[in-house]
Amino acid sequence: MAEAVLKITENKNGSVMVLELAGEIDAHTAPILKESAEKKISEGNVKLVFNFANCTYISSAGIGVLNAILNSVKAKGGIIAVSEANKTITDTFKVMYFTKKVQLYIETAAAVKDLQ
Amino acid sequence: MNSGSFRSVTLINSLAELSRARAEVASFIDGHVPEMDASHIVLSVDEAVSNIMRHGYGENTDGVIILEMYSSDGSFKFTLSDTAPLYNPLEKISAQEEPADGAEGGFGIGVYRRFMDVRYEVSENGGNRLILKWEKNNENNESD
Repeated sequence: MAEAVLKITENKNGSVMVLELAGEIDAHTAPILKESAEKKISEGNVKLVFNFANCTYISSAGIGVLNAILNSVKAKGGIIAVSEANKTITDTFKVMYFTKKVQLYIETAAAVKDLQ
Repeated sequence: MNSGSFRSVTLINSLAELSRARAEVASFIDGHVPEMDASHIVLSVDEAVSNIMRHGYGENTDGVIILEMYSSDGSFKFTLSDTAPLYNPLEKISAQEEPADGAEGGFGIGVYRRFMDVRYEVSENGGNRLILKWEKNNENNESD
């Protein structure tokens, strides 16, 4: 059985950085997400949208990274949002109370528009 | 229902094994529980295994986790046995505790305690044994 893989591509829309996540986010791949997001923040991006359209799984390790990133960008006056999460991932966000902290969008374009 | 089914999987202490653990659990329960319950079961076992790897064994690459899966009359039981230093995760956090702002950890144990009946015990060989049981009539299940 192959280990989980996570690929991240970036797409800048005005002042909003969209990180498109493809694969699974578990304790094995969460550090990839953390490194990528922290790099974008260090480059001055504090408005981040995480596009989950091609992401099939997230565990607490991934949500923990997002929670830390949220804190980091908020300290710099920024914000994060989640878009296009499937039913299972949306449920996981709810189970871990993350929907209290971050807005989930059906469409990435709507998230980008709101964060501009 | 695959009444009386049993499967045992040996996982080495590597986070790369988590994907295999999830696939084994998903395969074992496939078709026997509603979709969202299946998702909760897979997530719960993933969180428990991950917790053992990260906080129990840590850098000990010789560590092994035995995942045993049982099904009987609409219930599933998952037993995780390891030989890491004794650690009872149930003493650490409740099922309803909400993680603090910015916290990277502390989410997982609450999740599997919410969806599963969880018991911890010291095994006969002095290691840890975590037992997660999913019942069809659990109040948090989709199938209710």
